[in-house]
Amino acid sequence: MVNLVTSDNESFTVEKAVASRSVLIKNMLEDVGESDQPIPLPNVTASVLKKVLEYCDHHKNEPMPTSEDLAAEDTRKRTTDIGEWDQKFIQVDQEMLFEIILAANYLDIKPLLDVGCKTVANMIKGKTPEEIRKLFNIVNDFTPEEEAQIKKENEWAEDR
Amino acid sequence: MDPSSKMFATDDESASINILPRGAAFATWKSRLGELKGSIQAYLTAIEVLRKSMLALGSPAAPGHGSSFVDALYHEIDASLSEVQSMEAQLCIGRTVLQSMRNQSRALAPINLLPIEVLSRIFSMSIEEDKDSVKCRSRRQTNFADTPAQVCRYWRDAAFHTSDLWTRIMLHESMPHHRARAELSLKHSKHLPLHIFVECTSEGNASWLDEVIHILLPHILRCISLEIVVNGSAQLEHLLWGLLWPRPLQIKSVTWKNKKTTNYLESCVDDNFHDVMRGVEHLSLVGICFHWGDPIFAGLLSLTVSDFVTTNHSAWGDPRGFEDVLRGCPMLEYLELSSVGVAMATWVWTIGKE
Repeated sequence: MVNLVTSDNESFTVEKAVASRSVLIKNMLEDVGESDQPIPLPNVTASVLKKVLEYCDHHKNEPMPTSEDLAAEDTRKRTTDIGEWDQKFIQVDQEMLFEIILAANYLDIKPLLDVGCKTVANMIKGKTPEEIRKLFNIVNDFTPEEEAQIKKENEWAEDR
Repeated sequence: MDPSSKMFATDDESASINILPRGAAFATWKSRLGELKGSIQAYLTAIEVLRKSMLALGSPAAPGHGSSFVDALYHEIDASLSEVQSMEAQLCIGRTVLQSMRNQSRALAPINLLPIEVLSRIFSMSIEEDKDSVKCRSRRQTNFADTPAQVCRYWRDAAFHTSDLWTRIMLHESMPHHRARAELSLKHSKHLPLHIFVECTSEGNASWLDEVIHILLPHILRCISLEIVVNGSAQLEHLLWGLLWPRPLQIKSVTWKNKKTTNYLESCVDDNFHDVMRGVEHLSLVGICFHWGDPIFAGLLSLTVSDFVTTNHSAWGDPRGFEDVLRGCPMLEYLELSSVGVAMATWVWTIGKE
């Protein structure tokens, strides 16, 4: 078993197979060897780690992506399709969604990072800049000069 | 996640945060804004007083107010106006800074917690299906790739970091602003394969064609789909000789369209281009006659030929010759023939009988 300690000082004791879905933790365990020392995760809160571990537990028996898989990824067709369980898993509010993505990035759990990124990609696909701003509560922070530059850059789109 | 691990604050912003606690900085800013409002109100009141004074100047009962006094007032007002304009510009800058700060707020815009690399990955995924197609993209096809760079500053930075978004290059003779956009796309697409579209609108503008060649030539080895629309054979020949002069290319999709249907292109793509055309998988020819020579299209998956009138071409020859061409394309999955004339109709009929 592995003991993980979150940024808000909560401990999680999980199977090694579950924790090792994170390449970061897997490497740490390999470096440290057999040890009872807790592993601190200063960039992950308890609520987020709980979700991440739920994902890792569900996928613990699946083969880890190899370096060849990762290298081939850029050359083969990727889709934004998400498996049924993953879709249900990722149905969370926006803040939690982005926290999960950040945690997956930090913990180096590529399949989870992909699920999160695909979810956001599906949310923005086909939307206008204004619709995206509205969706994510972003304001237009371009200066008038930058706005003019952007308009100039995109005049070609108006001709299509 | 710990917000301190974020990359947003610039050096200047970090410095200002160190000097003043954020709450105090806002309080100071609000207080100065209040003072500014008061000053503007006082200024407006003064203008009203001045206006009344000027009206009085026009009356005979205004002794001692000569033209030099009026001129001096004008200059003073002009100076004050430019001062106010400068203050307004500064306010706009302040507003932009605040908007950017707002976009970096964990509570207000949590998506911007994502590092640029992750946002960039999301952008790539959002255009994935579009990107993977080697077929020439329609000009009218909705192109989401343009969108992320228009959302906010942070997204714009991420978009510039995402080469996938910049792989479509469009040059249109009647739209000179396309050049700046094409150059931007060529820069940000880095080493990725390109989809290139060129359209001529005049019947002979060699300097524009040379400009197109000048822009595209350094990147032509990256081109995987090439769509060219011309107004006559000379233009296509000019572009092809300038861009595709026999060299190993990786073009998979070719669309050539001649809008000037009275001037069919008969052999502009001759033996010299066999090496260039050898790897083509999708070929669409509109109003263009092609010199079908050696079996260079063995890998062709789709072929579209249209606006072809038998009486106007010689290279096409006997429809049976075209049958041989097709026999040389064993992988052909899609064939579209339209407006190809009497002889082709006969050929279709012949095939149908067989």
